[in-house]
Formats: sequence, structure tokens, C-alpha cells
Amino acid sequence: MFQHFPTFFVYIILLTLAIPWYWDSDSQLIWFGFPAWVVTSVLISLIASIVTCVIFLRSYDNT
Amino acid sequence: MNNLAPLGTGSWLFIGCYLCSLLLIGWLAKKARTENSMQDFYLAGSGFGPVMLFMTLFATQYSGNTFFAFTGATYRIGYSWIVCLHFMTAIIIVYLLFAERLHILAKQRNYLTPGDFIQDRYQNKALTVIVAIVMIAVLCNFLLAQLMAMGRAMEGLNPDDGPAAYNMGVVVLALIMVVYGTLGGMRAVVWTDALQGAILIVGFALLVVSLLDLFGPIGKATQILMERDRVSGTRFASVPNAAQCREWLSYVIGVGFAFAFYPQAIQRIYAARNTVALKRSLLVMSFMPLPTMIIVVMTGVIALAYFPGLEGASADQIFGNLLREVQMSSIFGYGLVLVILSAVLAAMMSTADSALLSLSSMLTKDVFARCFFGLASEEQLTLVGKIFSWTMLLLLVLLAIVLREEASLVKLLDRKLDLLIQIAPVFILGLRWRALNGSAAAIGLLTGISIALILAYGDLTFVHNGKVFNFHPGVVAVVPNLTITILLSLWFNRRLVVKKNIQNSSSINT
Repeated sequence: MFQHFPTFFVYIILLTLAIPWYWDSDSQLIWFGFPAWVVTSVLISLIASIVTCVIFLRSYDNT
Repeated sequence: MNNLAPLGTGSWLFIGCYLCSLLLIGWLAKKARTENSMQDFYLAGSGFGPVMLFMTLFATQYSGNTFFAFTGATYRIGYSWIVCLHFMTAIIIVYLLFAERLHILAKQRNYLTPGDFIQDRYQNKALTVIVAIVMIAVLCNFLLAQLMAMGRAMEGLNPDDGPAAYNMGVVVLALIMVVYGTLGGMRAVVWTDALQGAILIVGFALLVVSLLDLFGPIGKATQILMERDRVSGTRFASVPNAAQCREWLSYVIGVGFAFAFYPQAIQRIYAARNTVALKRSLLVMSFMPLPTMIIVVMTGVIALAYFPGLEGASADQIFGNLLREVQMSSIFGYGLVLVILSAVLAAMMSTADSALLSLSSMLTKDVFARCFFGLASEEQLTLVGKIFSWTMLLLLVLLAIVLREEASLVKLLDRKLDLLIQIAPVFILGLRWRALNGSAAAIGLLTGISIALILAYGDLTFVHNGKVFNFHPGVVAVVPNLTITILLSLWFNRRLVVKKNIQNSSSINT
């Protein structure tokens, strides 16, 4: 399923973006009722799930 | 759940009917049995399609204790616990590395336990036994935690009876679990998982709707926490600091690479009907952390905003406080709490029954058959497996009763990650790198386990709160484990090549 090496880098980038190290520590932004950094982190997780889903769907052809 | 209002007779009848339905499913699963073999008992013969596989993976991965512990963790540290969303997703991503290859091999070579793959791949009995021992230790720890959680749940429902309710809860729920497990094996466990998974999804979706209805929008809770951060210097809604970010990284790597190797999860990979069923179920599973973990974090945040001030073990009971509010709000709320209580019991039992089945299969196949009685027939081994199930459960029930006041659930769960992650290289590298040597893997694994345990229990000055610079001991220890495994494999292979060359040249000379 994990045939292509570049996929690995996609996950590394997503992991780097999921951890909110790059946010201003004083940020008080609220989006949709949640702190903005939480919304960003959730969105990155959604992207990771979509990427995983695409990998599973693509690999159907190989079975 | 100690804060719930007492349940009426109707409610107990509802829970009783639910528990009886599990026994009925066990009996139906026994009827559906095609042969009296270990393959049929532990892997349900030809295996499961995508829907059943998804339900059982979901019910196994998300335990009742997960909901209690994760709500409590959010209550303690605030929004920062949203990291649980990432580490639960990481588990599915790690499956991409090995699940398909392992499944294909399992179908070709009739694997039953994780140890079957290790023995087949490495032909190294020592490595197989070490892996089996680590997994059995983790399963015993896991099962004990679930039994204690069951007891505490029943104690919470009968606060007047206290210890008696706890003991009764542990014994009765364990008995029901082992009866349906013995009757129908993996088939019964997966069918009950499907029922329990459905109750879980419905119960927790309704819970979040009810909480938002009672306490107002989540934005209000967020603003309360931000205000509290400003006034008292807490970090409940603030951006995680550098130490917390390091801890996030450790959690994502640690949980992702450790919990993908739960023996019961590996056996579900074996039990998929085919690779398409496996991929479809994992495809849906990749989205499940989003709704479940967001609900858990929202529940913890609402509790933190409106019921502040609980500390230590009381924080783990915060879920009960919220349920009481929902229960007292209306007739609908009362009914909803009943469904959620059933869902919590369901989640605990579905996780525990899977662990028990895996434990019994590993003790039978990897220890009993491999080390002592390799010539026993399939019927004999299946019977031995059932005896192991009853014996191990009896021992763990006694331990759960003895440890009622002694051990906290968190402590029990703590070291699983540190141990299980050490097994990851043996599976992932073993499936992808032919040169990986069994002896090298065994030495690497033992080194990793030793370092993880020394870091965890060694009382070292640079270890704070059980972590090394905010990294779990297991995550730190997997680095030397991996390095030793790779370097020794290369060295062993080089020695083998040199030996072959010497043999070839000497045969030419003679």
C-alpha cells in the first residue's frame, strides 16, 4: 500500500504542520468556536485522512 | 460515574437485556461454526467482509476506558489534548506500512497469531518467544485495566454498595464475556463488536448534541478557558509551548507505531476475507478519529469550563459529572445516559473480549504448542485455548478485585506504549527488508525493552514525569533498538557472504 516514497514526505510535512509550534503563543483567535490553532490542527488531520484514503483507493487497482 | 443518580428497575432491565443479547450472539456464532479448528475459532474461518471488519476494528481500538481517560486528560490539560486526534490517525497510517503484506502472507501460510509470522519469517524461536512474552504482558495489563474499569463503572452505578458492586461488576461482566467468547470464538467477538460499535457511535453522537443543548455553543466554553488563561496563567486554550510540542511528536510517533501492533489488531488483519475487505475497512477507519476524538475533546473542554477545580483521580470522574447533568435535564436525557452507559460497558467489553481471545490464542499456539506440545491436534489445541481463556480470566478477575484500591488505570496503561513500540521494527522491517536477521532483531528488541524499562523505572535525574525531554521512554529506546537491529543484520550478512566465499574458494582449490 505504501509503495511510493514521496508519500512518506507528504506525511512528514503534514506531521510538521499538525504540531502547532509555528503559532504565536499569545494567539487568542477563535474560529468556529475553537481556538484557531486547534482548527488548523484538525484540518491537517482531515487532510492526512484524505491522503490515507486516496492511497487505499489507488491501491485497489493493484489487487 | 460515581455522581450519577441511581438507576430504576427499567434501566437495569435494559442493561440486563443488552447483556443477555451478547450471550445470544455467542450461541448464534457457535451455530455458525463450520469446523472445530483453531483457524475457525480464532479467525472465524474464511474471514470477515469490510463492514464487520470495520466495526470490530472500531470497537477494539476505541475502548470505554479511552473515553474516560481521554475526557479526563482534556480536563487536565485543555485543548492541547487534541493531539489524540493525530495519534489515533497515525495508527491507521502505520497500517499502510505493513497491513497488506502481512495479510497476504497470513492467507498464504495460515497464520493464527502474531508469533506465526515471526517464526515463519525469521525461523528464530528465541525471537518468537520474546515477541510473544511482550505481547502477552501487554495483553494481561490491557485486560486487567478493562476489568477494573468495568468494576468501577458498576460501582458508579451502585454507589451505595461500593466494593460489593465493584466485585460483582468484575465477576458478572467477565463471566458473560468469557461465555460468549468460549461459545463462538472470534465470530462471537466480532459480531458483538459490531453491536457494541453501533451503540458507541450512536451514544456518543447523541451525547455531544445533548451537551451543546445544555451548556450552549462550544465557543462560550472556549472563551471561558481563554479568560481563565489570561487571569490565572493556565494554558487550557493557549497554543502549546515547546515542551508540549515535543510531547505531541512523541505521542504521534509512539502511539502510531505501538498501538498498530496490538495482537488483537494484527489478528483482525489476518481475519480479513481478502485485501479489498481489509483496505475498505481501513479506509473508513482513517476517518474515525475525527468524529470520535473531537467529541471526546469537546466533552472534556465543556467539563473544564463549567466544572473546574477537580484534580488527580477525581478528574477521571468528570465524565460522570457531565452524564449526571444530562441525566437530570429531562426524560430524554435520562434515556440518553442509559444508552451511553450501555455504550461505555459495550466499549469496555468489546476491547476486553478481543484481548482475551488474542491472549488465549498466543498462550496456546506460541507458548503451549510451540514450546511443549507441538503434536497436539486442532481439537485439542482449541480446547486448551478455551481452558487458557477461563484460567487467565479467573486470575485477572482475582487480581482486579485485589488491586481495587491499589492501582490506578492510568498507571496500568502507561507502559504499553513503551513495550509495544519495540516490536514495530520486527514487523515493518521484517516485511520489507530481506536482509533483516532474526538474531539481530532479537538483540535489538531486548536492548530496546531494557532501555525503555530503565528509563521508565530507573529514577534517573533527566527523566521528568516518566518522560525524557518530553519524549516517552519507548520512543527514545526504539532508536538504539532499530540501530542495533540494522547494524547487526548487515554485519551478520557480511559474515555469511565472507563465509560462503571462503567455502567456494576452498571447494575450487580442492
